[in-house]
Amino acid sequence: MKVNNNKPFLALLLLLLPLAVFSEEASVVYTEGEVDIKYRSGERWEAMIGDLLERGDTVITGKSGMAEIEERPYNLYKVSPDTVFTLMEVEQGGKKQAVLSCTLGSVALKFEKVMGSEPVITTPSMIAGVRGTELTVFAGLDGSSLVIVEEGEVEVTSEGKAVVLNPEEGVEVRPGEPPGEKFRVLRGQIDFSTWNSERFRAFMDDPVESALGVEKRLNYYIGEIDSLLPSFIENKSRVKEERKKLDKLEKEKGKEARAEYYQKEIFPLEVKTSYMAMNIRYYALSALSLRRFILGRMYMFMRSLYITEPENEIYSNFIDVYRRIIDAFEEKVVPHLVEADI
Amino acid sequence: MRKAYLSLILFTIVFTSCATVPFAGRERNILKVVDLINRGNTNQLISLSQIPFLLDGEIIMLEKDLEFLWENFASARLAIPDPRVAETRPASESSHEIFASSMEVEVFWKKYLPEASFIARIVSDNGEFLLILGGRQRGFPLIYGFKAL
Repeated sequence: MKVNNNKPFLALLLLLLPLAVFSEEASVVYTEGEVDIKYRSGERWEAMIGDLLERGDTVITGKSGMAEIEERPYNLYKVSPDTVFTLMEVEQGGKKQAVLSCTLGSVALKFEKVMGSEPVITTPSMIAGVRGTELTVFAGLDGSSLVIVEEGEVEVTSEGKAVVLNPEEGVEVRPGEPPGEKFRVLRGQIDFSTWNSERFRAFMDDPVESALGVEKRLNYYIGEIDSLLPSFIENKSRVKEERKKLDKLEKEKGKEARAEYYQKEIFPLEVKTSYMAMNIRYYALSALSLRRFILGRMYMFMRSLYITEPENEIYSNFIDVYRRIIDAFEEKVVPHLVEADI
Repeated sequence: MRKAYLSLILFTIVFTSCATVPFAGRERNILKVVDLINRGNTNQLISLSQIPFLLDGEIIMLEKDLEFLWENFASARLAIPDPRVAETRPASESSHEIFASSMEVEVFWKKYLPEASFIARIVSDNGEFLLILGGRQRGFPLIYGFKAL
């Protein structure tokens, strides 16, 4: 296994970020059936009404589980059964951007008033920006997504292409593909379980194609990590170098000069570096969710259904792609994960 | 007199081995789980299986996926005919590599397996299988992982 020199820094960042960066407060306001929270610390507990959630925490509902989460000011997220829903955050243009990630299952989201930066909703196949909106997001077991808008406006982006949805419009996005044609939809017309069954049939008809879609998405996350990494490493080493200068400066020019130099030169660099680390973590965690809840499920289905015929061509072709994805994940993503993520 | 001594020694061996080997590590109990697999008793297998669950190198986190797993095994007619427990060993820190040598499986080992858990290697006419077992529930060991070699 590779040695990861970033891990102490990441661990420190994990501890500090909730205090320094996240101000919004989300809490569980309703639960029914089996609902768990997997905290960013790595612990997993049964969710109780009143539990507070922070960025990095994941709500996991069982087959009969439902949860409602309220996030200030008045945003409400209704999490359906068999859903994996994570509150995340990423830095964009020097500002924090709230990200709501539905990896699997379905979440209905209601944004009463969008103040400041708009939240972003992600699934394994798309990104949606919202403007004062009520919408439902479905994430299927092959990584496909379905977005249905009830109020407001939503821009769905995937593979560099965007589709703007208005009320009573929806769009489907397959993993690794741009959004499909948008379609009209009436309230309650879409049955998620029927759509999910169709996606499952599509996966079973061509598991290699579905796995290739996952691979494309994973490669996108890896590409983002790779593009951030050199600057992050450089900044981290600059912070270290600059910090060394502080003691010398204090000896020569006193404490005030030290504090001034820190505020002016080092602190902005530290903030920039921590934002970079936050974004690397965001992409690494998104890749982990994709690997765990989409690719992992695909593997589980294929392995269990073909357990008595491992020589079957459909199975072995799938396994070839699966192994390739796992190798890339191990090499490029795992170095940015910590034990608490697992 | 000699016979009485031998009986005492035999009784002591049997008694102490039962007392020292935890429930999940005992051959008879391991074979009870194998029997559930052979009979396709998915309901009981699901109830004995723990979340998270390890399938080869994959960590299963969702309850519904565990149901799919055992149901699919049953529908694929997975059988472990003429099973023999070839090896039982405690799930020690380094033994995760027998499932997969990834960081995820290493963490699963450290974080999710109870102290007295065992890896049982079962040989059969249908190949070799690994089970991770620990604890007990209604006369059966709990299942934490499965791998077909």
